[in-house]
Amino acid sequence: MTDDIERRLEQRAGRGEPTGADHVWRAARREADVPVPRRNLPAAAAAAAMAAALLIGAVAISTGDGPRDPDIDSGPTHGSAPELVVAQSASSLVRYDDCATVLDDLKEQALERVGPYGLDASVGYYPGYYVQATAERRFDVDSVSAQAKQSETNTQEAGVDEPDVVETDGEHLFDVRGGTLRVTDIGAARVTATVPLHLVDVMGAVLIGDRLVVFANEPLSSPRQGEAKVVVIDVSGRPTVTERLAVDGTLVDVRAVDDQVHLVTVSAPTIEFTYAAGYDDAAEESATAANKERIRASTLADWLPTRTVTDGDGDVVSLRTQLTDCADIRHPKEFAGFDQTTLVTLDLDDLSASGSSSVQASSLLVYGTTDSVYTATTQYEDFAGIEDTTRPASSEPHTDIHRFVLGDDPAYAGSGRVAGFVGDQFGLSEHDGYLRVASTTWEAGAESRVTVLRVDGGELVETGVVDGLGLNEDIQGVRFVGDLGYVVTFRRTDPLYVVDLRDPDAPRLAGKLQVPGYSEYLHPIADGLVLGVGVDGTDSGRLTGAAMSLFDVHDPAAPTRVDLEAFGRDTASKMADDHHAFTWDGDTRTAYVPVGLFAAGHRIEVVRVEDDSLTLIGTVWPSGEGAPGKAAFDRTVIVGDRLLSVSPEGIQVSDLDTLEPIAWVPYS
Amino acid sequence: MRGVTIDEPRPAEHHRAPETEAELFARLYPSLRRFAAVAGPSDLEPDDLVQEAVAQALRLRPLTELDQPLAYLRRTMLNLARNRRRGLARSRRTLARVEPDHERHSEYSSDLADLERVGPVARAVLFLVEVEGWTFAAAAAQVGMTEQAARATASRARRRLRCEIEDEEGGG
Repeated sequence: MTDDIERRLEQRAGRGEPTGADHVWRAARREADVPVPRRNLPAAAAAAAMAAALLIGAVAISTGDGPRDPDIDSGPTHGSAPELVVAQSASSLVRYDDCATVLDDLKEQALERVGPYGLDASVGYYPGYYVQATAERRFDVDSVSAQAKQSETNTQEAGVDEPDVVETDGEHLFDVRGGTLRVTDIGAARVTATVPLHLVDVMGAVLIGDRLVVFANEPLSSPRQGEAKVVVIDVSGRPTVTERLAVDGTLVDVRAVDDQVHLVTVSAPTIEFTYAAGYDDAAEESATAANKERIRASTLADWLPTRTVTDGDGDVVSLRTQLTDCADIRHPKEFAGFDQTTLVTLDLDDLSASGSSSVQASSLLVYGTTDSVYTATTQYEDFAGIEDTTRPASSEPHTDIHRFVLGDDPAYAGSGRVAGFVGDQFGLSEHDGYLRVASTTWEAGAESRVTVLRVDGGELVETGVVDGLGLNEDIQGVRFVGDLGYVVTFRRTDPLYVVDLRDPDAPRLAGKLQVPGYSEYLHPIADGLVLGVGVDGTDSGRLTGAAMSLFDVHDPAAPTRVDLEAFGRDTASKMADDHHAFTWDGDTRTAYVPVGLFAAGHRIEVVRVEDDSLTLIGTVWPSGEGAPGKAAFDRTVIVGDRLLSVSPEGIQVSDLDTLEPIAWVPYS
Repeated sequence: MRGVTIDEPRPAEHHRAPETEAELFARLYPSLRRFAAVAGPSDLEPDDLVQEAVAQALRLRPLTELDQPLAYLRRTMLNLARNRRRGLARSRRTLARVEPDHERHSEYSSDLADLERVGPVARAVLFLVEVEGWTFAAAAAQVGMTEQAARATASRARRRLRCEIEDEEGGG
């Protein structure tokens, strides 16, 4: 049988028609350097793949065989622990009595599940990638303040900052892409500092006063998992790294409310198991027995994540101390896997004093409001397409959602479960004491739904659901605005569903609009008007290129598309997978959207909303002395009367009103 | 361990001048292409996946500056394939519209279709170990996971494929 599998693999390895190394090399060069469309791959597909590629772009290869430090300080951690208490649906979380109870419980669970290859948890994968790759989207109607005339990160919820690769304080632009901090003096239009941060996979940064806090993932720096990295940089003068924090596991996401920064990480146990020497039953039984012995001999250090803090000089402040007090670790009554989700609330004055709280469950996405953080995990087949025996058995994919209340006295609020898969943070929205969740199920073909959960009380209790949205279609974009939800699905055309959520006990489908193409990002710009950025298409379902739509939803029962601005054949927008690329100036009702041919050579399209129409008022290309022929613009920042179009190659400074070039600021 | 040595720099006696990027890619291309054909989705030309991964890498740094270019590119392709498989289903639908179904599947026998029962990671690990002869440790490093996870993945994938093949043969 093995030979048969080998034969099929060998046969598959030879499939297709090779075009030759030279051809592929030249095509790749062109794709990397100039905006030429790639053969055989339409815009949306390539844009999606490219977005994914950009997200994993900085992944370093590691053998994962680095030294393992068995010494772990399991003593008490410091700082005030946020009360991150999570429960599986229909069951409350249980607090461990002490560290001995933690260890005993984990061992017991593991002994029931260990096999000839150990525990098949989600090792080696980085949840953050998938969260990002499935397109976070967020919005803030007033993302540009009319008074200060300074754009801010485009966030889902007003007052809740999210990490982005570009930040500004109004005088400087901070760009942390590629693990290097570049500080640009906006007035002087020149880079004033370049600081290597020694980070691999940078998620982004938030600016808290004079401190830039940078977040990154370091893949597989330990035998079984990577590290979440935090770097605090004093940017009041010349940028100076003041402290670094490394947490075992993967950084899922970050939210900042006022001056408080909250990290959500997921970690896995680090026991080094043996494995079956052969495929026969005896070998597997022997390996299973050996692995059980390793579990019995394991210590807390094998199960719980640690943190390491170093100061600005690289000197260790605390080394591999247990991340969370055992008393601050909860577990659901119903076993939820060996992954551990931890909420870390940073103390920016002393990272070693940061508080944390953990729950024995995984998390794949994070949604935040000003007073809550929700984490969500979908249970379904793993990425290898095969079941994970360490996770709870489930006949149908479902998503567990946990709510934590932030603030001076953070506390657990409740948990719930919805059917299906929640694609990104925009699938969650809290409003007036209710959580609305958009998800897709696949019982008899894809079908989407909006579930309403009441969030007061001990659990998230379902009060109503609207299902049957987009039969055999996936959700492409979703946006909840007040009492309404907008859900875009797609197969051949774009149904825009408007869901009336005014009565949480009886949500209903209010209206539906069918247009060619689809919108991936929805951005409400005023009462009754929603911008949609996505892909245009033909009536037959063929996609043609990036486009922006203006929807009139004054009457939820009869949504209409009042205008469409197409950006050209085979174009794609980086908006598809990164809503941070979108900037909306509410003052001038102008949208700034990076558009290009695949990932190379994106320009900025500037579109104004005038009455019920879209007007393309200009395009920003690299221009000025020293400007390259092309640039992959992916951010726009407005500061005063200047428009900064930011790319990995440099910054195009333009006049905000006329879009006339002022200067090109090269990064190298 | 056939594949391991390819990722190492050429011995000095073989190349008086440093290997150029194009030369490096030409050397890696056959391995990359075979890997792409196995790990990539069946509706995507292997060369397209290779091209995408190389273009992505080039935007970051020259190939010659990568410590392990073969592993880096394989891992990139795997992530592309994995993301496409799970989160970017619309890409498949788009491709499906470009290529009529009968064209897309005509090259694929039912034998090969069975391999779609397991995901890109599992296919990649099985391919590196069973076909290319890598050790689990080396294969795991190539795809960015631990040796233990690679072994578990391969074991479960084998079981699933075995069931599929047996069902197929049993059912005719």
